[in-house]
Amino acid sequence: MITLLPEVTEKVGVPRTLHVPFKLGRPCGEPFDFETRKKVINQLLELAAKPAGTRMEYIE
Amino acid sequence: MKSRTKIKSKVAVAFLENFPKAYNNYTLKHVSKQPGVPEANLTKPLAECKVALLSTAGVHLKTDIPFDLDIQDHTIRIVPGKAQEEELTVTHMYYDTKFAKKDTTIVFPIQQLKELEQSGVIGSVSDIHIGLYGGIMETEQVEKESIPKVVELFKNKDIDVALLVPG
Repeated sequence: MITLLPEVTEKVGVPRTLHVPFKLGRPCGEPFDFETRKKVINQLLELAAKPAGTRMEYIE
Repeated sequence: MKSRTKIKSKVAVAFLENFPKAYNNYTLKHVSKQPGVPEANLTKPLAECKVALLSTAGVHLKTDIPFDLDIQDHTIRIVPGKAQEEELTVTHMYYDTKFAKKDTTIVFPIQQLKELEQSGVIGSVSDIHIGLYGGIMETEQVEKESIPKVVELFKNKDIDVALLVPG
């Protein structure tokens, strides 16, 4: 899961989170910034293959 | 949308944009602490996995019934995998939707998933995806009705990976 509010998702017990530094309402970056979009999706998929409980920070 | 809901939405969006830390604390108070995390792990390579999106940003087809912001609308919207970006929109009151309405891939990156299917990074993109309205404080109906429905749909479609995207 992408998270914009890591303390909240930690409390809910989400198995895997990717913390992104974007604004609320823009979890995959700014409109038409498709390069960032690709990075977010690639990092989310990388996260999916990791064990439950993994917390990742988005890498620019 | 009722005018009372419109005002509530404007206040909420102004609050989160000007006081993000306070907004986080407010949200945190409404979340119940769950012990542990679900132990579901991938059993095959990503290149063989079927991937679906689940968004709580209020994503739905333009032709579908929008989420009802005047109530705690916990119903789900199914977004077909073949849906094009221009066929989608968002209905939400707790974030500024003008950016997501310009480019829905910022909350629902289905085009990027399709590209990864083409290049063989993932096995396939699911033919169904889920849109939910995440602006719900009372989560009982979501837990009782919506989540079991989504789990059943995803199980029936043999989804291996669900990517959750908030609003």
